[in-house]
Amino acid sequence: MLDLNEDQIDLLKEIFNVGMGKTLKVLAELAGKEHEVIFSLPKLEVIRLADLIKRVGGDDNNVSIIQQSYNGVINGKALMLYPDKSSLELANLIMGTSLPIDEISKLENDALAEIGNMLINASLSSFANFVDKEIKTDLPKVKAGAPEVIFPKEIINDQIIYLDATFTISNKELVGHLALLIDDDCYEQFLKVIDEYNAQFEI
Amino acid sequence: MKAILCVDDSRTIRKQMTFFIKKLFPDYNVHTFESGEVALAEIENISDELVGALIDYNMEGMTGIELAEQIVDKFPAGTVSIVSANIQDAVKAKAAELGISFIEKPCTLEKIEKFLKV
Repeated sequence: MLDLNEDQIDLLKEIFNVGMGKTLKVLAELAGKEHEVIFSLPKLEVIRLADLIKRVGGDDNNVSIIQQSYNGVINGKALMLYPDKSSLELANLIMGTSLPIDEISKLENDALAEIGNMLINASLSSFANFVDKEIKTDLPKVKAGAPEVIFPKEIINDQIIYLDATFTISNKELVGHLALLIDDDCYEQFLKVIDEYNAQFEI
Repeated sequence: MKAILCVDDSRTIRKQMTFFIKKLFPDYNVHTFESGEVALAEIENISDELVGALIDYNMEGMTGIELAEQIVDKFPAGTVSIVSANIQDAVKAKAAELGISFIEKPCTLEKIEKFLKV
């Protein structure tokens, strides 16, 4: 059972904040100088993966995900979840195209996969840098459809660290959800490195 | 007594900043606030000599830039900086327009030392 106190949550929000900042710098560069990417303050919760899928998936529960396994100081899986119908216009903007909406569905998937990949790696790198350890990531896998098809049964009820990764470029909003699954046998190590980081600033 | 102002909505960062500043300047006071609004309301009550400010950009309510616009004149030239993970050029440009510095998060002792000891 992953139970985080206020100091641990505060540090994790800051870690994700740095990862998100690096990602948004790249997105802003892709979108062009005239666009500033606006992101809301990170909201971080520990919830079950199944509950996040319900929030993201809407009526049919269908979602698109980018999934990357990671290992190092802690092991687990990082997921970026998008509602099945995300912002096509935003994908257009980021990919620098001006295709009609009905022609960019494939492009949208590529763009969302790229954004997910960037955000996952930036967030995990930020975590590794903060705690001065190493984390390696596997290649991303992109999946879409019903939860029972895309998620292994054994993880659906697992707890996740969830971050709302919604941002806006030129009034176009992209709703994304970052989920960090940590292997059960790494919880203790995870909490230990976070607490060690926080403890060094106690006066 | 000389003092540094730190405004950040993260308690972790406020503790970290205080730790760094006390390490660099043991005799300085550090005044920390969790939002621009609170800092603005309290700054007039600070009797210390304010010699620097480190201000987060993304916070609930006013942004760090909006706060800096209102308080930059209370500090010596070149002693106010935005400290943010939002490292887009557009945000850095806003700080530059205001004539203040920009420090990228994550914050380190070296970055704070380089800024405050200039």
